[in-house]
Amino acid sequence: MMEGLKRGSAAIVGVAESDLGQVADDLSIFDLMAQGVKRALDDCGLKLKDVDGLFSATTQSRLSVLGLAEYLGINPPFLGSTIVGGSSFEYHVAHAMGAIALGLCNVAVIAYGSTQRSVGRKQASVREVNPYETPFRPFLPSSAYALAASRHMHQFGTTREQLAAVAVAARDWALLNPAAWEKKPLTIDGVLTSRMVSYPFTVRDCCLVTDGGGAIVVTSAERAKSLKKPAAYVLGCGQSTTHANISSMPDLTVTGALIAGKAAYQMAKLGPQDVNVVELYDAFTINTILFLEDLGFCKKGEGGAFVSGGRIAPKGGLAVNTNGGGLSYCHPVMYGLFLLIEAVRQLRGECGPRQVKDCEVALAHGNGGVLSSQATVILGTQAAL
Amino acid sequence: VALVDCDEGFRLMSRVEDIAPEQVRIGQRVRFRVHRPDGDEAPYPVFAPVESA
Repeated sequence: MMEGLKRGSAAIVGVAESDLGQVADDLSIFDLMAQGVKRALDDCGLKLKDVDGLFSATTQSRLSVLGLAEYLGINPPFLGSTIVGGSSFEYHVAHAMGAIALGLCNVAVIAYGSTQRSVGRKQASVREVNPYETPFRPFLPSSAYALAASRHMHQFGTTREQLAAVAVAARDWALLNPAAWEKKPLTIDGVLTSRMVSYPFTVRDCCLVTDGGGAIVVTSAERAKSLKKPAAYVLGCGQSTTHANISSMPDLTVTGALIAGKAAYQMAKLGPQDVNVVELYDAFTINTILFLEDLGFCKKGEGGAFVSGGRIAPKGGLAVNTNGGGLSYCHPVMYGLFLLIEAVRQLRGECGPRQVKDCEVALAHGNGGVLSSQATVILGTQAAL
Repeated sequence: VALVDCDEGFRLMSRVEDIAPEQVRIGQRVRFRVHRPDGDEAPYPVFAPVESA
């Protein structure tokens, strides 16, 4: 657990996306990261020279944080490159918070960039050989998540229609977000009749394949007070890793979000009932259902029923993935940073037609690998401190 | 692709053969056998349905 971290001692003060979707030819991951850094610093009024902590993770560069520091022309004393898949950035927030508390840095920038759509999925993420899985040619990551979904359907009676409801809700939110990749309405039937990718998933149950990047700026609560926009205080953090490969997942229907969430709630002294907006890593439609269960928004096995009838769509009972998510907004290999960006914007009230009313507490939950690494970050406004 | 829980107490990724993929059911009893691919690829375990199940 994160017992060494003090609730509210650090805050996210700047957030920005880079160009998204299909970026201009020949832009590199560092171009996208740097766009994010520049825009996120402008967002809070800090300068590049203020940055003394730098974090990044990407599948397209082995030493990405060095490449980024070189590109930016800075020499920050504190570096972080924990890479555990799409949840890396939620881990980075906890690490930055700890580093700030210890005086190792004061202004930490966490950056991401991917040109997956431009260079191709195979080029962007090289698959490793696993003697226990590779011979069976799983179509990863889809097959892994499909196994979890099949098990959930078998054990709890979850239906393909309920999975589809997750994709439809994400699309409805995306239609309210001008930055979203998908612009056309989607129906349950539209999901079910799309091209089958890996049973029970059609292509509409699967996240997008886009380019994209961004950055966030984390600093001490004290420094946050004097910056341009209202701070999003880090109230709670939690992490859990249960496996690396799907064949070693202890229980296909229970993710590490259970432990990560508990730790984050405990640190935040809050529970699911206190959360106004939920940003979950929806690589596949089953993710949203699993994480809603494991994070305590409904009971285990009831996620399918919970998401039905527009419950998590705009004007539903619980605001989930308000940017349109990895399913409809953007998904450049590792999506975790975008959860934090949207959570902060919701807390600031910057989200226009998709803004959640009276938004004081936001939960961002990152997922990495094949349901492998789970990390929860709970953020709050000044009022929630 | 399937995950098979063995009576001996471990789980394997594998494939269920001798049956159409859409006929494979969670909970179905299956039996181990060795698959020997052509060429240089090493043998690996696959499973087939047990008739009585």
